[in-house]
Amino acid sequence: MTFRCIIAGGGYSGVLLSELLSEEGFDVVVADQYIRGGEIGLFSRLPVFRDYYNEFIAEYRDMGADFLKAVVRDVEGNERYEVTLLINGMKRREKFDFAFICTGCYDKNYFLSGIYGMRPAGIFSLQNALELIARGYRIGRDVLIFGEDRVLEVLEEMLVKLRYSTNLQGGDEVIVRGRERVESVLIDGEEFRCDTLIYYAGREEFNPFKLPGIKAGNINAKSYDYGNVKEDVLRVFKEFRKKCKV
Amino acid sequence: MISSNERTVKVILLFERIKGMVYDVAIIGAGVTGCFIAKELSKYRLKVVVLEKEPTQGIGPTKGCSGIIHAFQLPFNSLKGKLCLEGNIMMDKEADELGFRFKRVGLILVSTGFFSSLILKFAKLYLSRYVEVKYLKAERIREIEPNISEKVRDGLFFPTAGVVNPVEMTFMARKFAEINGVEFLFESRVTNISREEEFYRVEIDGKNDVTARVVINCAGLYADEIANMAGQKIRITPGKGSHIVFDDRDFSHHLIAVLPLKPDKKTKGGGALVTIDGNLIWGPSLIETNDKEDRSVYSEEVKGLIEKHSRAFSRIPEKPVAVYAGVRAMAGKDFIINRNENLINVAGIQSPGLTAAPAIARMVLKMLEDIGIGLERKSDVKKYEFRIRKEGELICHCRDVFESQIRDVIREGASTLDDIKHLTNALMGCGKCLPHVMEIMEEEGLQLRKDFSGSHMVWRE
Ligand SMILES: Cc1cc2nc3c(=O)[nH]c(=O)nc-3n(C[C@H](O)[C@H](O)[C@H](O)COP(=O)(O)OP(=O)(O)OC[C@H]3O[C@@H](n4cnc5c(N)ncnc54)[C@H](O)[C@@H]3O)c2cc1C
Repeated sequence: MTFRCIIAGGGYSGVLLSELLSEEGFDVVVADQYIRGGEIGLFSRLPVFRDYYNEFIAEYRDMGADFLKAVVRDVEGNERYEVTLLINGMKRREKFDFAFICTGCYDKNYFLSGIYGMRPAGIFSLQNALELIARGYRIGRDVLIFGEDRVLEVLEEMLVKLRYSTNLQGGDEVIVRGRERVESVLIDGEEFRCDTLIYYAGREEFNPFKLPGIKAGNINAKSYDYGNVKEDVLRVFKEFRKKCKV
Repeated sequence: MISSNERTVKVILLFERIKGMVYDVAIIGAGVTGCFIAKELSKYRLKVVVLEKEPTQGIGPTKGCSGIIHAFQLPFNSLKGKLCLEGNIMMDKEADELGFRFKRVGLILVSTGFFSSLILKFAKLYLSRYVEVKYLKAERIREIEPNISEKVRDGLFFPTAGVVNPVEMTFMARKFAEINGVEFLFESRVTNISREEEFYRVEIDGKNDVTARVVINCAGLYADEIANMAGQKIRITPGKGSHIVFDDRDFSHHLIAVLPLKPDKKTKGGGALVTIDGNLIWGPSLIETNDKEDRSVYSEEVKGLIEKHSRAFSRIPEKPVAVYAGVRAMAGKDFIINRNENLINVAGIQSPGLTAAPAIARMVLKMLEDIGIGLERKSDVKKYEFRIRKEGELICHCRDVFESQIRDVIREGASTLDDIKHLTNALMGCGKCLPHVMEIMEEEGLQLRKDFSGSHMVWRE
């Protein structure tokens, strides 16, 4: 008898997990609202990021999965799962033996990232800034990047390549000035002129429907370091296999 | 003798009148006050225009307020006290007529010490002459609010206090007015007002003048500038109020404030509030500022709010999702609603202006009657139906917002990102859907602005 698995989220983690489970003989469906490749897909559309994440992009491209264009809206039960899928706005219920949650994460909001002062236009989380640039928008001219993480250096390099002027600063707290658009920011007392602020202070799990199930990948790692994401998927898979054998 | 100059003016007026460019009433400012006056006037055979400097309605203090329909406002014999009581009573009918959501969640005023408990009992005696109020024992409070602190001794319950979404309330008033013939001119900043014969000529930055028989000044923080243009003296001072929003839905269900209320006399001191959508808002504070545009929030303010309001609870709510501030327009202690010739000032509409809005509109209508503008009620007043479909792609997972909802509110007149946010609740959770919402705005032909005229977020290469 083959077990049916559903994976919510078709990004890097979901697809990698699907590969691993399929090899073990499970029957796996990956449900995603978009068949776009999640965050790795986003990186592949951005210069510099494309090179930096090259290994994962290539790996993702070479993996196959049985995709279902659907939002996993609800998961019930713990022996066998009753899963509610939202397909083109229509609800459908299906039974699965296992449910995995690979819905990734989102960047901490401005408040939890230490951004205070005014809230004019021109303040973006890292994730939203990348999405907007990938969609062909220019998000400003003089960009101040606030945070401390390797990925911010990648961001800076990309912005320079795209002819933005940039400044990367770490610190505890930012105070934004400006009424309609960002005019400057104060970081721990020092003022920097800029029209755009991109902040990053860590990530949180993206699971708005509070889906129960086995979490794997960036929903646990909460990182821009895909080495950590991969490690987490492998760890979850190993543990799962061990449990199944027992 | 009529000078040739005066003659020209007369000819122009006559000409504009024939063309229909002379308005009976020009309302300056599309905050909650201006929009409620507009919707009231739209029920009469009048030609009304609303002039608003920003791209949309209710973008100033109206958006920055706490959304509470207050049960009462002290002192009871002040204008704001009276209009607050009246507005509160009117609110169910208004909500029904305009189609905005209004919930009487009730206010619980709690005491945490022997003295405040004593004050509470006296307060009940006094307040019960004006508002519905019930005494609650600690056990009863804990029953309805499980997270309440052990220190709470007893409380007063005001069942008539309620909550609205202020942006929705203002938007629905605007829409009602619009479908009943009121014109809204956005991005129209009034720069001068002059009296010519029995008319006012209202000059607008970069646009044609507007001529009107009556001008109603509802310009909020800038009501002093408008009054000054017409040679009248009003002074508005700004008073900032900060809030913190939590997405902790089962934390509390009523408006909760701790006695003693007063850090400052000018506000009720804020409270642990809830929104119509079930989020929590803690605030507002009252912070002195000398900048009318100062909507900044600092970490000390947030700490202060949490310290102050957590006194009522046994724990602190989880998931802070936003902080925001609004700026009150204060002209002394009370509202100023007066008439000087045919210019009506509705100024200093500080708290509880949201609550009082329907009562203010009724009062202004009465003033127009006194002017003798000729109020003839329409027989065919239309009701606005806000039709929103939940179809297409799910855009905001945190708040269950579909693509069609965003397109629908845009087609109904939402014009900025914050309009869309407050009218659909998209972006109220993790904020990850921002790029998607912006793409839809662009597809629908909107400029990609956050709120104000110059608040452009991104550009196309
Ligand atoms: C922090 C805070 C919390 C509050 N909480 C509550 C509450 O819980 N309950 C309650 O009842 N009340 C509350 N209030 C009070 C309430 O928000 C206000 O009384 C109300 O919003 C005032 O509305 P308004 O239309 O008079 O003014 P505004 O909202 O200021 O509208 C004025 C409009 O005029 C426009 N304008 C200005 N100058 C010009 C010009 N030259 N030309 C054209 N247009 C112009 C502005 O752009 C603006 O849109 C609160 C206020 C604050 C600040």
